[in-house]
Amino acid sequence: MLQSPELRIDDEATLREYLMGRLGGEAAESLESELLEDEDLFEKMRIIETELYDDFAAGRLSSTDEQAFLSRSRGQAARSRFVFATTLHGRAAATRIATFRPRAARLVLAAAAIAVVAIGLAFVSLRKTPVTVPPQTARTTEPATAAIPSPARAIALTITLGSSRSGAEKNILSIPDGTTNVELGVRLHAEDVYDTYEVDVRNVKGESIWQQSGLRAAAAADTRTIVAVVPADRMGAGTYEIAVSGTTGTAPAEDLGFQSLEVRREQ
Amino acid sequence: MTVDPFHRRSKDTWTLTAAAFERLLTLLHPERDKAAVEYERLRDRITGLLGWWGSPRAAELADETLDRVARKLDEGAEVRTGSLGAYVRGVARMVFYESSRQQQTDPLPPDLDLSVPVTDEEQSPALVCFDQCLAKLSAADRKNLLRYYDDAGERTMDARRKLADELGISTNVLRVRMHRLRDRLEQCVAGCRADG
Repeated sequence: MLQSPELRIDDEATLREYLMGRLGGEAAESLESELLEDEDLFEKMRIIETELYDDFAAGRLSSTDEQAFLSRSRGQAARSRFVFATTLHGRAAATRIATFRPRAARLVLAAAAIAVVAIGLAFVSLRKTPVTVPPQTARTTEPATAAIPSPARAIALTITLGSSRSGAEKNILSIPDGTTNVELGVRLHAEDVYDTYEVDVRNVKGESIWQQSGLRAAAAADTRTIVAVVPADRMGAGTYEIAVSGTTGTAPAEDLGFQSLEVRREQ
Repeated sequence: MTVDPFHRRSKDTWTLTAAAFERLLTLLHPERDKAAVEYERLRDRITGLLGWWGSPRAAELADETLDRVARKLDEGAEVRTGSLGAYVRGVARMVFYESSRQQQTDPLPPDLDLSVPVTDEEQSPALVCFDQCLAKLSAADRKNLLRYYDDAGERTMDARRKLADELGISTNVLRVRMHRLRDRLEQCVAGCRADG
């Protein structure tokens, strides 16, 4: 226990020790009294508490600190804070990978309204596969085309590339049992003209679970679309983020945007 | 039906009066409007303290604490200048002890244990709310927040310094600003999830 009379109660290490339950006796009492009077000190404590959740979620605490933290952070409120910290850091990490381009900021609000465009004309034309998909949900078990080795069973979905992952509407893909591939069409913005494209599928933690590069866009009906073929067994039920980048010549790849996708598995 | 003797007792024996409440507000600040703000801030701080003590009903107990402080003032208690914090802490501690005696001691269900990793099933609904709330922030705030909380290991501090430089503020100001922003976002997500 830290009970030094020279302890500075506004020292961050002291505040952290308090939150770990390692500040005892008069030092803790004195600090608690001060916390109730001093708004700035209270906010500082809140910040340190929040950073403890971040450190815990990122696995940055030592085993001793982790045990101390766990013993002090229990119940629904603590669990909710943990889930939030995990979500925030996962989103932030994903953003680093799919950095917005300047024009993206102007499209943020528009992106919220972006929904799944179910196998649009361009994609139908491109794939030459007659499919019907209801809005927001794509589902088909059409036979594979030339891109999919027979006897693979494929399910197709076309999404429109957004510039924000903040869209309130979620793209939903129901994958029936036995499906081998997901043909993921991504409708690009008109100005996104590059030699080749890369599609990166990430889980909720921001981890890449599958990538395909060297994709070329097909133009049809005033739109440009790329199609990636994702092995269905890589996409369990859950939420994913589809990030797309483009490359021309030897220039570095440029991030073009992303879209979220909820996958449901059907037995 | 579960009876909570703690609440029954406090409810049966005393209720907050307008006069008692006024005395408390006057103690917090001589101007009524500012006193009301101070009251809310003090309530938040008591709630935080009770949470750090491990109370699962921190907000409720903070209200009880303030009611009791008001009651004591109404009954003639004097709080010396500079000792309000210690006084309120003492009352809060008593309220917490009384509450703890009533608390059930059942073990926490597994899903409330922080040592259990966050599952996709748990995170998916949180993500929907997160994205909705994130969309309510300005584009600049959203961008800065996500940059700030992008953990890149040892590069994190450098990245935050760079962000602070770009915004023309110190890293400490950035830290406070981002925390406030995050707090707003977290409250929005909590509200969204509570609404189902």
